[in-house]
Amino acid sequence: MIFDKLIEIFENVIPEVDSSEITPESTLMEDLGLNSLTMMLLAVSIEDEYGVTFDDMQELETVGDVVEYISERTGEEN
Amino acid sequence: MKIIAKFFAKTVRALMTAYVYAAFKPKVRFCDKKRKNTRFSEPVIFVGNHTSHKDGIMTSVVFAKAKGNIVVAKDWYEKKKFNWFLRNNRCIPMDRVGTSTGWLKYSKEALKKGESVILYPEGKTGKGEEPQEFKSGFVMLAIMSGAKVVPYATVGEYKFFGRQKVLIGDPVSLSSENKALSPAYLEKESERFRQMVIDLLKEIRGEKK
Repeated sequence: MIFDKLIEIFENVIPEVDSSEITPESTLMEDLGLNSLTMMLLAVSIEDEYGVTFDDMQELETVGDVVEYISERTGEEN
Repeated sequence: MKIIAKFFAKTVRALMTAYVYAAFKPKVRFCDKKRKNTRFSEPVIFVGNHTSHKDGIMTSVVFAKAKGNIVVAKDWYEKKKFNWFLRNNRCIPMDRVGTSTGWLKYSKEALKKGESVILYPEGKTGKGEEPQEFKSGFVMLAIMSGAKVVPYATVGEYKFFGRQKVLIGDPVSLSSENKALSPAYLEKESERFRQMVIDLLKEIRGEKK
């Protein structure tokens, strides 16, 4: 499941956030507090895991948007 | 058409090289006294201070033997008067505002081809004695590609008949050693390289004891 893998990535990128509270509705910048560095790190980690590249992650607002973005490009179930 | 464009780009590059040597007379030194030029045994990532937009043409000439690809701000890359030249002269656009990872992909490809990458980690020019905060992109690139990072420092005013002094440090291998990339690690490594550049600056200015 993409969401579960994403949670693992978030645990590394934003260790200060309790991963059990992350839901598909969580917003990346407001709820999870991602900044330009952590956003880039997230993009790079996802690219490393799924081979998916990002033109601009800031167009993705929520965790669910990221899951859908990966799913659309890999064909993997979310 | 492509051949003509390539030929024209080469000609402009030759003129630019002549201009840099005539106008700025870069004096290049290495910490490794045995080193004679910037051609390293493997492709590397150069990181240094950024005091002027002319750093671009100066470093592209100084690091020409290493086939340096300059990572250029996308807003500059897309400017009409520069775009053709930058497109045809080993430049990689980077979006400073967004989080596009395209520049990482192109930089990795360049390193894989045996070409080096030149980055200005401050992200913008600064006139202070010391470089501003280093952004972490080059650390990510180094970890992801396995390429070594070579710090350098440049001092001098870009005026006609001025003199640029460049001091190039030794290649440093980065390894995240079984730990995944984390913001803390990236920030720590970025600052470590900023300190290396500060030390090189002190050495050029003769302030280092």
